Amino acid sequence: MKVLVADDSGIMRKIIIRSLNSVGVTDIVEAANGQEAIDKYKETPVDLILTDWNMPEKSGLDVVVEIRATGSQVPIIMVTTEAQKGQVISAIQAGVNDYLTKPFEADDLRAKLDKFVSV
Amino acid sequence: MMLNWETELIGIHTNNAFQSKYDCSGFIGVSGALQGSIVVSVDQDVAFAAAHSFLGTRPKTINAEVIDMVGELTNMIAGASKDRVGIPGITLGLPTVITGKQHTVSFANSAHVEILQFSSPHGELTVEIGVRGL
Repeated sequence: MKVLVADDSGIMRKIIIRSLNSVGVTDIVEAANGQEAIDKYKETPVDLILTDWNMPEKSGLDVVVEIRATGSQVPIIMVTTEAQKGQVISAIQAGVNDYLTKPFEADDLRAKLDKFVSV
Repeated sequence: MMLNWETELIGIHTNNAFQSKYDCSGFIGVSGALQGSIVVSVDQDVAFAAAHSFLGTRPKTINAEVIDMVGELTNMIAGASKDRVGIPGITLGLPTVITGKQHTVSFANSAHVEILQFSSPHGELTVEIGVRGL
């Protein structure tokens, strides 16, 4: 199983990757901004995407919209500090499958991953 | 939170009545329904301890990872503050981090400033919110 992790914070990517490793996922592609996430997804389709919302170049919402526009149904989890109801609704309407607000505990992320990860 | 630290609010100041002197400050711009910025400031020992909690290793200098961590901490605190304010239409920018021994942060006189001082097991941290539009 291949997973794309998009976050402009290298530390957040490390934390997320640590959780992915803990559920047996080691095939991971990293992106440090929204455009890089879109480009990497187009180069190498993955089985799951975890994306931040606020990123340079393009936002996580842009990532969701552009990937869904290709017809892809890849599961996408938004991992973000954006917790206002309107924004959660916007993300879900754009095609996000699940939503996790920062800060989160490792168990919260693992619970989300368990829904989508098949190793 | 992800740091799992017990923090306690130990002071509230308004309108530049208190000037923090810290080593690392993360800034996030606020736009839309409110305009201004949110600043999270910490001493390097707090930054090192937070980086240790996040990464599992304690940095010896304020390096790129420490700066990244302060930016992400600022992002989380600003996001939670925005959520608690409950005013729709507030947009947060991307974090910027400045470092410098014992620097101070000042806001324009036209901003309403709330400064929240917290204690933590590793030292103090300060959250400064300076906005127009309230």
